[in-house]
Amino acid sequence: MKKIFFACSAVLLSTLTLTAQQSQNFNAETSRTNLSSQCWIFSGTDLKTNVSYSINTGTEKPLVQTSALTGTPNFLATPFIKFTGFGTLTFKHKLSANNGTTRSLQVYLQDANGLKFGSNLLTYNYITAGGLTTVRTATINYNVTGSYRLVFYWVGTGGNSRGVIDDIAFTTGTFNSDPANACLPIVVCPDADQDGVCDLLDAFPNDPNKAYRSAATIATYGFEDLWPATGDFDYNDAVIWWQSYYVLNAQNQIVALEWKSVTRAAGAGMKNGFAINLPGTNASSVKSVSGNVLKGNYVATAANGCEAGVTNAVIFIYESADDVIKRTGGPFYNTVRGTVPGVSDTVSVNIEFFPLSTQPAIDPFLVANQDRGREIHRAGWAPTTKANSNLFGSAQDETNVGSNRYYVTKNNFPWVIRIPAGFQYYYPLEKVSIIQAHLKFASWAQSGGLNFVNWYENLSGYRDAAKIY
Amino acid sequence: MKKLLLLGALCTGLISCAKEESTSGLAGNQNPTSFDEMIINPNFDWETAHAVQLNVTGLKGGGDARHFLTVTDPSGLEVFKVLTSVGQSHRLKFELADQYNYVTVSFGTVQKQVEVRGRKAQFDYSIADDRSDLDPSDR
Repeated sequence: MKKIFFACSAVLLSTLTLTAQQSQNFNAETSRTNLSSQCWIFSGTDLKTNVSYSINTGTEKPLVQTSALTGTPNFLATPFIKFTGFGTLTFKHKLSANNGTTRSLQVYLQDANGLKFGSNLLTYNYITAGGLTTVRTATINYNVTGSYRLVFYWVGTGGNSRGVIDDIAFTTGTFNSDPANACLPIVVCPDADQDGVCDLLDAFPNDPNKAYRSAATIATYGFEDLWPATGDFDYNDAVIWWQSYYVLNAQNQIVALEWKSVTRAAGAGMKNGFAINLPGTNASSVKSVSGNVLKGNYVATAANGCEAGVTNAVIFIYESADDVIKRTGGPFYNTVRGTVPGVSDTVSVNIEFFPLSTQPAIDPFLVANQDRGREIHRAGWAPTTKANSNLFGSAQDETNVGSNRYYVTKNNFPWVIRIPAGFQYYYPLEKVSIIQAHLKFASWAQSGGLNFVNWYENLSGYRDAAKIY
Repeated sequence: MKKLLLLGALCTGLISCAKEESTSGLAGNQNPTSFDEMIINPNFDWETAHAVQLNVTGLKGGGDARHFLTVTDPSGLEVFKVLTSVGQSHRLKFELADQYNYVTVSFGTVQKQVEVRGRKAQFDYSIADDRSDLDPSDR
């Protein structure tokens, strides 16, 4: 027995059923574009909002019509419909004008391979029936299970009349095309943890609290570590590459932060710590922290792994660079040529949150020489409450908390440079100003960020290779 | 004829010059050897990337199948990802390096390049319609 059985193929002049589960009267549309995006297929057919031969009147006028029927096939296909058994299809149709040698409409089902399924639900010959411009209401009972498109297919020769159709409705079944999968029927795939994200998309298929990772944020930070005094502007007292992913649950809430960093360069004299501040995220939002390198030198942590005594979530990655690097080439770590390159551990830190509705900003900062109050942030980024406010405005620093001016000199020079790139960024040699190593940096800075926005790239004329580590 | 060639060469030179990023009109030494020679606008934020707002217009009647909506920069780096369905509208934010003025937004088989202007971008799921299937008089 075929899945499909048609008890009745066509009955004229019945009214639209009020129990229709799905319908399309085209009244809300102004062109066929939106319908095409919803997986309707128009071929030689178009949506018209106000033609003299409309089937309905007033705001109900929009309909679908064919081009003039001149021997080439014209059709309209619905998105896939997931049929679930017995039902009734109804629609209104006619020709636009009282002419034509041959004119017929066929209605049939089409499967996901584009093949006709079963026999025609309707074959209507306008010429034989007569009264070409009379509005007809087709009523077709069906018994179909599975996903198929409904195809309305017109052919005709002679004359210039068009096929028109309106008020398509069916009582059982739901539109089931996936516009994001080439309009094929929506696939229901296994979901082991039943979090609503199918296993094909779920990076954590057995954990209902986690579904996927965000895009990665990748950056390299170059620090000057003498704050509040300025230094040699080589921005290599700490050069840290980092990458982070947020982990989200099925409701798109943030449930974790996966952090990874590599310390590419470090100054000779200072033992600098490195931490991240999550401005606007309360420390109590953090469930746990693991993987960070704390030797118990000067950072006190709360039970959840955040630094104790700070309102925002502050997580130390390490207390001193020397805890994660090996200085195999003497006191300078990867800033002087001719020495054996030092190596850094990749520090991987996992921060678990109670679900957050918004993605926290990440503000990585340096703690100079293990002096907890001596935080060094990017220009314009506020310190944590652990920062020593007595240092603001001292030496060359012109931080002014009242006017939200942070970590810049009187001339608006920063202590941190952030490059939105990974290991492709090459930093200056020891005591070489960044403007001598990266030849477009000064133009970028003096233009207020308008010129040479890619100053950090390795393009012709952008770098002095002799001054780059 | 010579004058014409000279004019042509001059125009070519002008066009070539115009392609270079202009440094004229800027304060400070244009080829400084130290920071002290630079003059920086006090409002300059020193950022090499900024947040971009992407407004996504959901498609009514498009179904509720979920996919990842991803944003990729011109270098191919994925800069944003969210799980959503075609019917949902969003106001999303992601960081984009200042050197880029467009991104590629993908949602399953739907993919569009969208322009970033004033740190804003728009995306919808509508597909291009060239109307070539219609009789020429109906296009």
